[in-house]
Amino acid sequence: MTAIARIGGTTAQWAAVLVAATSALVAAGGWAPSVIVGTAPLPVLTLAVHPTPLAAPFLGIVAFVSGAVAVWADERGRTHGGWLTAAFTLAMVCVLAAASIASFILFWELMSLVSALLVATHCERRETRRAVFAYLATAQGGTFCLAAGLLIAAVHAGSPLFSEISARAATLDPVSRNWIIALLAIGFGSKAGLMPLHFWLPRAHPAAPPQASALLSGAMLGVALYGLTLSLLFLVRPVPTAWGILMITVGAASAMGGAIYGAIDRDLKRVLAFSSVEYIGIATASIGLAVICNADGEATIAGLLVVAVFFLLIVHAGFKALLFLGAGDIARCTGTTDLERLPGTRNLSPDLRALIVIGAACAAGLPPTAGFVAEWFLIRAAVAGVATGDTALRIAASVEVFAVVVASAASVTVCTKIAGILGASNGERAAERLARGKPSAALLVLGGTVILFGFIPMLAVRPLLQVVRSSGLTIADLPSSLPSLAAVAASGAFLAGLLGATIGRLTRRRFVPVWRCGSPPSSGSRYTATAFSKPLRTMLAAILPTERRRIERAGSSAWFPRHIHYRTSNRYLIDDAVRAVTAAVLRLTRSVRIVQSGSLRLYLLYTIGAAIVVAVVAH
Amino acid sequence: MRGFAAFVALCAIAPLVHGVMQSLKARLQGRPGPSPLQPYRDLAKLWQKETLVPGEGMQLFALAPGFALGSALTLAAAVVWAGHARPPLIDVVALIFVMALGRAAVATAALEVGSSFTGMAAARDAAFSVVVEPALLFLLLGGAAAGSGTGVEGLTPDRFDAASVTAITAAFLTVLAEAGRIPFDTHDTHYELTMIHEGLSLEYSGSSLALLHAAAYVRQASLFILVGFLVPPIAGWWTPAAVAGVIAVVVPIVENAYAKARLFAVPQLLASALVLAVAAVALRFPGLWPR
Repeated sequence: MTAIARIGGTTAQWAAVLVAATSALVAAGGWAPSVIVGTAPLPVLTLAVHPTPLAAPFLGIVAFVSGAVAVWADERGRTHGGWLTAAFTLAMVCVLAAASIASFILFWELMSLVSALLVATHCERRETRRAVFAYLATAQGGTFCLAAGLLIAAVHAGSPLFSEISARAATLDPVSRNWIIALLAIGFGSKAGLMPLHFWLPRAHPAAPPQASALLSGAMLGVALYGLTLSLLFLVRPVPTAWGILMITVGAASAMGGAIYGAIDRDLKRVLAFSSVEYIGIATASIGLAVICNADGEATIAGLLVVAVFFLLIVHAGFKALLFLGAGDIARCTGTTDLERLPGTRNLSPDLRALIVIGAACAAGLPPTAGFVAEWFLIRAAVAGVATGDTALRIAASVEVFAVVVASAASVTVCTKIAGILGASNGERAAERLARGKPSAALLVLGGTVILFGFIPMLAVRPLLQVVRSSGLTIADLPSSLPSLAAVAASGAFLAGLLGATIGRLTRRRFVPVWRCGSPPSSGSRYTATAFSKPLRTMLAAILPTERRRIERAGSSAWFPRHIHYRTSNRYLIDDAVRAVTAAVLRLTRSVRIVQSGSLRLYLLYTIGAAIVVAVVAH
Repeated sequence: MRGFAAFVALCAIAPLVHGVMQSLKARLQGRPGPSPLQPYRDLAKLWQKETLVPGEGMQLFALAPGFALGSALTLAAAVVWAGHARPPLIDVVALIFVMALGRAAVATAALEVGSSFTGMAAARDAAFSVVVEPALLFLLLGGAAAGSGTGVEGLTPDRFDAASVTAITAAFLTVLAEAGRIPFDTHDTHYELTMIHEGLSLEYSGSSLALLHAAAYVRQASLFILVGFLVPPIAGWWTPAAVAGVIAVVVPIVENAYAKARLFAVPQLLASALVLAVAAVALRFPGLWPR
């Protein structure tokens, strides 16, 4: 029976990947038919499916990530969740293909629930259950907001079809327009993990299995951003400039905050979750900038920004899947993803480590990876806004550039931390390191892709240009050096690195113990992940409060303790705020619950009271 | 061809620039000091020595000096070929990422080696870079804000005004930090707890150390020239080189006039450079300020 479930799971996974890939191709070519199911008796419930060219890049992302996940799960023998993974993939494909509000909300809800089930794989652990609860609460709130926003739009347009809503968007009155934008932004923002609503992400990812994390972060984040792009650039256009400014502010805070939280965290999977917060922040800020460009009549720059954001999200999907699946392999080899315990772990294969370093370098935007090209392209597109338009646009574009570069600098720190800690020598000889197993083929393909797109970005950018053009946006000229420049910059520094290594190999070498300025070796003197982030935490102490606890074990007298343990943990201001809100809601519900005392006499009193009120009102 | 000759010349002169600065600094302190040619001798000596590799199986430790030299040479090429290469080889935005690659490689190697002193230097370098990188990018975005593109040659303003003076001040501060000069850091210390840039190379020896030093010399000279691009062309086309020469003289004087800042006063200094750099871009926005 288990064997059947296993085989069935793998087959289902591959079938879902095939569906996603096919629909991506069909959508990109614009050959997709528009299918409408059941119009009467309630027009609001019309289910319509029509994958548009705009959805094609995201369908591609879903196919790519779920394909990698399927390969990885098969190689690692983790096929028991195959049916769920397949369902999740299909739900994402359906959301991307949805063409009416009812189908969008139905599939969106399905996607949320299935992904929550995936996160809950290890629900025997308490922190997993809490994470699932936080995720479900956020997802339900988000779906509610989405449903409300889309309903208002549909009522105004008199049709539940996205094409109709989009066609009549210009006639919306300002009040409902603002309400729709606010509700949709909250809905998509909470799913993507935008900063004030990101609190579930750093909990869900460490709790979820690697396949779930890779899909959630690599693919579902893209789906949420597709929703944001669709609604802001098509469904409710023109969007007032104020919303663009708000989105740049929130996005910039999310980008910088996510990157800096990632830089100070010590758990690899939580670091990756914060990296998702960073990237969704960058993407949201860029969409905000595109909104301002549109409002300012610089529609071509807006188009360029959209292409840059889509490319960034493709790259993000690649390296994030690589890193999450790699983190899964690390956990399998070493039993932990805690960076404090990882240095000198004896059984991490060097190839796996090299792939993780490539992924981390891509997240940090370092050449010669695709992350570099993506961030460079995005900054160049934003710089076009710095150089033209009115002052508001210029300031907004500067803020965007600032956020991207701060986030990039902080994620260079993350990359240094991951790469340095994973490789940290323990003083033992290389032969003693048990290189157990080789990296999965999925990781090799993902790593190869992010390098390939670094050298030949046009492989992805050219189809993106076509897709974005065919959805009706105009695009400014690409930076002339995009195809070659990135490769030049990348290969210059990269080839020099290889040259240096070769020179190092050719000259006389001798292996010696680490010098440490003459101090004797001890495991306590090694720099750990927490120690590494200490200067940053000190610099930013105002926004990164740290909780320190000192536990003493008394010896012969209180003045001479036998052991002192220091525990340091990061405090997150937003988590504190969320906790306060949750507590307030619980208090409120508890005080409302007094009404339901369970006493019969009280209920009789209610009935009599109600009868009197009715009688008085009727009279 | 002329560009290539200039590139070779810049790389060849870079150690001399460092030597002259060190020698001038010593003279100002009343010491005879080393000869200006000392960096060349150091490089030759290190190149001949045996390379000691601490521990086996470290992949990035061997690569890092090459990455550092590669990113420094790319920076040198960008300032030398500014405005002459068709199509433009590299713009200021890409430059920031290439410099980050060199920095990240060296810091990773320092963390990988597992020594507490190199780790300390890596941690500090990483923390400060979160402020230095945006400052550098905004300095280099001045050209784009003025509408002359993102090439290095677009940085040069046509006259001295509030924006260009602010940019030059910010650039001087940022370059002091990037080149590891007082008040941010010092090349002369051998006290492990205070150094950053020297601390990163503590475990290197022989030819890899020579590569790291060469990278530092080339990067420093190129950064000085980069500041020169922010100055209006008062002395014709060779203004950047002349400005670099002036900086090479001014830096030793600054190093003698000030003490090294306390470690956690450095972020404040860096933040002021960042604020100035952002202000320099904002000052170029038309309509925001009366001209």
